Amino acid sequence: MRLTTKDSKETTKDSKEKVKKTFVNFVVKSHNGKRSSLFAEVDMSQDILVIGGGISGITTAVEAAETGYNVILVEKNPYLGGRVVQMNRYFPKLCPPYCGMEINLRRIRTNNKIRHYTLTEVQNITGNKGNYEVTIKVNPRCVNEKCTACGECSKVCPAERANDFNFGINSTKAAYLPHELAFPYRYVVDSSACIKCGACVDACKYGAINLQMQPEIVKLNVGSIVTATGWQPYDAKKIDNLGFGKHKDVITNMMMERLAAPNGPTCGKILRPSDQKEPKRVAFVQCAGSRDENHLAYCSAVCCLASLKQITYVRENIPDSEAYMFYIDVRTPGRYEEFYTKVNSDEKVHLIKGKVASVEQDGDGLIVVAEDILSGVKSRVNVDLVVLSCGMQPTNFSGLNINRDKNGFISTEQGSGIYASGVAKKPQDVSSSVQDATGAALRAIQSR
Amino acid sequence: MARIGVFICHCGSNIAGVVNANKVVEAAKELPGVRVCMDYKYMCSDPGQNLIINTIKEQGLDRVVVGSCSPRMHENTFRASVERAGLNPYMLEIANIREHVSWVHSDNKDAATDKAIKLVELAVAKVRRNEPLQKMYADIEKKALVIGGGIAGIQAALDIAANGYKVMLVEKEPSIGGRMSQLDKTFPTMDCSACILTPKMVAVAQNKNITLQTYAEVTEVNGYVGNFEVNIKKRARLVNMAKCIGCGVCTEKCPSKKTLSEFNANIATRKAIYTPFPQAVPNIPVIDKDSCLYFATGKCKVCEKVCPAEAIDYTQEDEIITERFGAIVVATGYDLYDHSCYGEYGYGEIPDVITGLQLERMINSGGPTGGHVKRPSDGKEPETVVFIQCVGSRDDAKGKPYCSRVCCMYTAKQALLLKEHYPNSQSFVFYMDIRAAGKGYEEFVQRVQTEYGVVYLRGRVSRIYEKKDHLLVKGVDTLSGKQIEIKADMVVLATGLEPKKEAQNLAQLLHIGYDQNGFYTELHPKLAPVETQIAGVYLAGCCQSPKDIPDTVAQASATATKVGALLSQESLEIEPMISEVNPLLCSGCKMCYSACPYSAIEMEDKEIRRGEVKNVAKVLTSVCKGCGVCVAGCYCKAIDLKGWTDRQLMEEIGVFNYE
Amino acid sequence: MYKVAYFPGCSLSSTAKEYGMSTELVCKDLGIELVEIPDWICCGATSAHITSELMAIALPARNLLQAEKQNLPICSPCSACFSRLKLADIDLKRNAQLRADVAEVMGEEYKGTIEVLHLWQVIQKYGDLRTEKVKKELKGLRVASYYGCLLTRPPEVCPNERIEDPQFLDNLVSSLGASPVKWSYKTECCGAAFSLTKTDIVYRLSGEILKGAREADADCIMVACPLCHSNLDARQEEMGLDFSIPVLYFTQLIGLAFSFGYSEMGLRKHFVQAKGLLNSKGLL
Repeated sequence: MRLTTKDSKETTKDSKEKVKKTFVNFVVKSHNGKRSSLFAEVDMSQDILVIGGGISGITTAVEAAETGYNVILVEKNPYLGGRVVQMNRYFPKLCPPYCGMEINLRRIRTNNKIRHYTLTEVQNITGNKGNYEVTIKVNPRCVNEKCTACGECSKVCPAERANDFNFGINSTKAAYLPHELAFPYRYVVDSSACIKCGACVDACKYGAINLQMQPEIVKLNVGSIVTATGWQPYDAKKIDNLGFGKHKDVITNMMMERLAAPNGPTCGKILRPSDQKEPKRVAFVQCAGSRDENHLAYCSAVCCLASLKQITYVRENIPDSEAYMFYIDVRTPGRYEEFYTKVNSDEKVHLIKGKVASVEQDGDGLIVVAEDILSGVKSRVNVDLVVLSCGMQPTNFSGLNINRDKNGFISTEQGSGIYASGVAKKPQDVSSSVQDATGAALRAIQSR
Repeated sequence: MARIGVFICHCGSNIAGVVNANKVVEAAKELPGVRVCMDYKYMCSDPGQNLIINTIKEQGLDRVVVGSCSPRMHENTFRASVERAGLNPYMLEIANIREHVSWVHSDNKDAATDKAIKLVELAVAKVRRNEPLQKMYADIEKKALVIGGGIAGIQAALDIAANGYKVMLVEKEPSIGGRMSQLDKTFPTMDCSACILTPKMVAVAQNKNITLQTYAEVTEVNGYVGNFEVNIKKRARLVNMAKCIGCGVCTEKCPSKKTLSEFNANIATRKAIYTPFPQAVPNIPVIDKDSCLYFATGKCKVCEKVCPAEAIDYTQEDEIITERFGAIVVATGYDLYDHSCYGEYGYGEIPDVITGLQLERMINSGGPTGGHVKRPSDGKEPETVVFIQCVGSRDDAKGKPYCSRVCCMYTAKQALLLKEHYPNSQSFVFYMDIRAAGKGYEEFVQRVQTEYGVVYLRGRVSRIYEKKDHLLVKGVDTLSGKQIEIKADMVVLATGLEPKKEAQNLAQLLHIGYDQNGFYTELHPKLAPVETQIAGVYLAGCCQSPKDIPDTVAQASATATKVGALLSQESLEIEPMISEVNPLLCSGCKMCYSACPYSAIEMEDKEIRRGEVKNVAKVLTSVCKGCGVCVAGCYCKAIDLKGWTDRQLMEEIGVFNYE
Repeated sequence: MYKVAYFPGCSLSSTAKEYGMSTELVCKDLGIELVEIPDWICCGATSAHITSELMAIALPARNLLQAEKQNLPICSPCSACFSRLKLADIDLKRNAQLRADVAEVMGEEYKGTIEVLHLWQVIQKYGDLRTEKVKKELKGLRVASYYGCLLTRPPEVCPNERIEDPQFLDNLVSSLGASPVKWSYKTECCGAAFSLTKTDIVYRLSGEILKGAREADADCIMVACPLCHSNLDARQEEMGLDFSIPVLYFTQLIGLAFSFGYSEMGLRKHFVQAKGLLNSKGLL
């Protein structure tokens, strides 16, 4: 991997010359079929840039690196792992994602061919397949690698910020550890929340904090790019009739993941936001945003399974609870059908075919109004907590010349040097994303 | 005296929710040799591993026990930690207190805690006798085998070849192409299936890195990752591939024409000498002995007479070739569920009740009807067509419990095609849930309903009645709660996908696992979705689970990445836990030699003491899999399995003697 | 001579007298001795199982017990009776608690050592419709075999049979020299006991069966159940059909092939007379 600094236009010119020279070699030698020896001589960039450090990006990065190529992995958050580390469990086996993530992180740690940047955004991409100039901006962490994550900075920090990792359910100090198993295992100072009092600098025994740290612009020269920018939950506030933001006890499915997670804000106890009581009756509202021309026209592919999974959280955590799931179609394709059958066999779980019309406040509870279209009866179900099964929306980014379809998913042409993997490409679950990301590694390797 | 450290993982609430970790820690502290014992929320995390490393250094430990999940998950993680702390990585034992305790005994927490303590005690006992072991390395055969020449196998082969490795693609049928070559269009883009597939088929034929073996099957697999030895049976084609020019005269003149065409889903017939379809790769016919007149009566030989290239060879016999490969990709695909067990749909005996694949062949302009949909009973163009979803799928009673994933979409596609071909036609679809999860799928199904006027009815069909010139389809619309009767010209069943009949047999050859439905099981759905529990064997396409073409291609490319990563290595690290012979004790009885299932034992003359030569057993380190059969068979206790020595096991058994 | 314990059921001495008559004639000719079960009682029919599960098992169990005492297989010509007897037998074998409860009710235990058969099974098993018995082949007669809903359901009653499209009566038709027709209504519901309470349902359901047979070009319908027979035969005129079609018991068809007389087998008792049809085919 070669990093070129801002002032080295010379290098670029120089490398152009080299490319020209080797291009001649390429044409001549490829006729002799000496492919492997050829690559050693071509001085085009061999490196692969992966944008996004979620499960897809990590997979693409480690698969490419394990085949012997240099990979640069760029992540916007201060930690790697993306959406997956926010999950409590995976469907259908209900095991914790953390465990498998650790195996992937180990592959990153032990592989010197991967360099990763956190808190980093891609600003600009120019050039062509085999020779891209990429400008990235590394935002200040204000904490260097001396950090031992002892936590003294956080103890003395007077400023607070909403905890975005927990979707704002709780807050952290401005000097914080993103989550207790974050990789890299280092604190961050949130510059926007920090009041620059310097208390943390004094408290740090290791001299790890520098509040004056500035954003750094880095230029990369890479041969191919894989965008694994993932997704964000659809903004539930936009769906007026479902009352998110209006009623405290209407939450999103991702919030439910955090509530159920042992390392979440409630230490794994499912408590409803309004009064911190255990909800006995929980409604899951499917297609909150998805399959709706006013919101997302497409199906988000994972929400049915996610809700069935979350029903098991509720039923396990609160034994005398009942769960209601309002759906249009239960989409549990392939072998997932068995998971659906299993959850549905619990007599405290009620699946109702019908789209929810509204969620209303009723005393300290909520009423879910929906038409049960199988019986044709308009049903009003009293519940304590409503979970909106919000769809997946591709992560928004601008300024990069990467093709996207009308829904924002990345559409790349075969043979171009830029590829997409995981949910950045289409809505899909972790298993399919990992397969897709492994394949993307191959595309990236072949098109350098 | 050993200095052992014991580390107990909570695995969030996965272990600690059932097992009382404190009690385990307290109990472990009392065990002989244990210097220190501690617990942590996630031992596999960075802080957890650092805890282990720092404790080893601070306390000068020489052996470690971790009580956590299955060694399958994190044995490597902890071995690496132990190694980073300066110990031999094999001075570690894992007590599996998750899969073996907390996950299976959540109903009795006290007993679970007791069992966890006992398992830790056993691990401590064993680790006391652990010896440092050295990693070993084996060479890699830089060549891959792809089994199955459908789109999954084709994609995998092309991708592996593009990485610069040699590939052999083995296909059972006379041509590659698989199911995709039988399809008309692909959803949701409505690309012509053949138009996007055939260039890939040709690319396979032209790629110098790919050797194609059609009409061939894998019959035996030996060896291990990096060094598989595979026997492939090439069925006698009875046509000399080197001489044949693919002119097709033989097929044209062949008088035997009654055999149903498998390629056309039995809606048409084929000759005894045939190529399955015009774009076949290789474009060389085969003679089907069962329908050939010459083999039945001893007379005919028309093909031989008309062949301008003298390529017909009735004397050809099946041939077995043996090849070595470093990696294997399994892509054997699927069969369609046989609907003849469904009485409500007429036990497969009503002519105008056809399958989706049959409709696919009819509507294809290259198909036997030239793209005209004609119902089988009288050749009439159907106007009203009923599609029935989930035939064989999502049906515990008669079919399969799983969802076949593609039927909702292929039915929507077929309904659209019918309307395009016959604007006056009207289609009805009986469904359970419309499963359109995929890019552009939801929008596609919406279009089929709104723009093409296909009526979707949520409910099942109870019975199809054969009337004089039509079918009466009775069913229920569960949304309106009404019984529905439709006078239909034709019924199309969306039959589900199931693994190939031969899939289980192949699984046994490869020693890979399959689920109760016969689909091959991946190593881990999230972490290792294309790997199997046999290193070096990968899965692509519908043999692993039902999936559509985009997902199949993605998975096939993923296997190619995996194969590339494997074959790019100089040599392969192999576990040192293999058998070892003590030549002093060996009596040369050859018991182990005949017991070894992997032929990993050789007999050699060895000088034991000066001047004393004895014929003794020797373990071939690169072949031994560490199964331990030889150890059990050895009378003289001359063989031991490293990492599982008698001393270690006796120490473990000793734990029970204390009681 | 084969002996079976005969459970005629209530219909055979009332609406289905002719079924009884033909059964006795045919069995005698085939060498099957029907030993009427002493002191037989109601099988429970359609009413017992909706009032008491135990009663619904205990009633047929007593008949089974009586047959068991004689150590004979039990045989019923009525599909409903057969279904009750067979289900009781299956349930008692499967469920030890139920067996104990029923034994308590009856004062004696049914051990489940005997076979429970429908009349067609007895004839198939022991009767051997050999060609010399068939004195007059029913050539040219197109017969729609109607099985009804109880003869093959639930599937345990009739293992190794295609539940939705059974074949055994069709095979019997073939062995008599007649032609079975292929049709879709073999196991449709005839309306059963709604015959008296909701006649319009019977008109619709039985009407569809009759039309189905007609459409399949059948000359007559063959049945193996008294209730099916009465619904299909007695109501044809009320249905306002533009055709009529004779409905015969399978024993009557066998009897015809054995050259028994028209009145002898009670064929006169049917609402739709088969005489014209049989004459036209030269079978009388």
